[in-house]
This record gives sequence, C-alpha cells and structure tokens, in this order.
Amino acid sequence: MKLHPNVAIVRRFYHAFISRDTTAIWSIAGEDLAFHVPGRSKWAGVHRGREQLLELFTRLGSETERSVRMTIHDIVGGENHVVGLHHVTATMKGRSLDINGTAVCHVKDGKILEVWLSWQSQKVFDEFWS
Amino acid sequence: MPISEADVEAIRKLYVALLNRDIPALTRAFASASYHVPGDNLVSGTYRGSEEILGLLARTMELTDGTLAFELHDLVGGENHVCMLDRATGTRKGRTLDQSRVVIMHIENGVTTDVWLVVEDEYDFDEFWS
Repeated sequence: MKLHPNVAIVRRFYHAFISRDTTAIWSIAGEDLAFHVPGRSKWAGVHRGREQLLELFTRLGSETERSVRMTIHDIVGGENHVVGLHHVTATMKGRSLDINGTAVCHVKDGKILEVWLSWQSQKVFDEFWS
Repeated sequence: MPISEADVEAIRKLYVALLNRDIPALTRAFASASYHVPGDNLVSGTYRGSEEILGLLARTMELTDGTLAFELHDLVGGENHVCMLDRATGTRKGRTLDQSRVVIMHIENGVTTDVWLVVEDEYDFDEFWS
C-alpha cells in the first residue's frame, strides 16, 4: 500500500535521533514538541520543548555512557497518527536493556508535535533505570 | 509481501467484528495468530489460535461482568503492520479500567500472525486484572 507522507517524516525523525543530528531533529520537530514518557522511572512524565528535550537526550546519553542503540522495526501511519515500532538496547551499571517499544506521533503540517512512548514491558524499562 | 489496502480494510472489519462479538469472523481472523498480553496478571501471556484467543475474550468479559468495552480511536497501516489505537474501559471488583492501547497486528500475506497489545499504564493494567 502507498505510505502516507507523515510516515516519511517520522522515519526522518528516527534517523535524525539515531544519528544524533540535532539540526535535523529540530527541522522536523515542532517548537513545542512533547515526549510523553510512561511508567514510574525518573524519566516518566512530559518533556516539552527544545530545552527539556535536549536535557532529556543529554542525560540519557551520559547515564548510559552513550550505549543506547535504536533500530526501526516498522513505521505505520496516516493523516492523524503515525506509530513507530522500534527496538532499543542499552547498558548501564552492569545492567542491560533489550526491549521493543512504540512511539505514537501526532504530525501536522510536516512537523511532529507530540510523541507518546510505550514499552513492551513497562516494568523491565523502569527497573533498568531504577 | 507488504500489506495492502485490503489488509487494512480487513482489520477495520475485524474491529467491528470484535465490537459485535461476531464469533465466526473472529475465529477465522485469529486462526493462525498469537495474541500477546503484557504485564504480570490474570490475563498476561501468549494465546495461540482462535480457541485460546476467543477464550481470553470470553474470560475478560466474564471477569468484568460484561462491562469491558472498546472504542477505536484510529487505525493505521504500514509495510508489515497495522496498528489500532483504541481505548479499553470496564469495571471489576469496584476497580475501573481506562487504558489507551496500541494494538500491533503483524500481517503476512494477508494473514494475521501476531497481535501485540501495548497498554498506556502497565501498573494500572496489572492492578485491574489482579
């Protein structure tokens, strides 16, 4: 089937995130882009705007000694929502994370406005960061 | 083979079949499927084939005195997956379920092989089904 143009936008965002290309990230992200992080870990909650997201990404990188690796499994979507399916691995303090996740994205006028993250096992994700 | 518009339409109809408790349609659709429920509770685990999957549906209805209800929010397709964004509500033993969900359907040659359920709050989900 023909993929919706919003799918390509989210794919570009994933690639920008994976290659840590902040210029590319902010060319696709809306000014007030919000990441909704579920669960009970220290990251849980809403991270909105460049300043908060930059801090989130920086802390994630430093706490895991840049070990976070993400691969795209599939990206599906339409006019109102795009869902990214991804796989993440990371290590920290001798612990390792190996988990599938989803990112439900709202895209409008070529920009990503909201991202709701979820994990295959929230407890596994939260325990890794505890 | 990548999924087609027809596959997406078939999943849309399947959702209607779920809402209408159309057992013959659900039996056909889940014949070769594995249904994965997250968390650590009464209904967590993997259910294989129509009998087990429909058994799960019947059991969840019984456990909620028939109050379990689903509302489709959006349905989007991609290369190998269709994702349904929906909301599940219900009551049980004085507890209330109200979860936004991502239902990931893996489709191969028009056949649903795997269904992965991702819930908004796994802790609340576990509490409800404990």
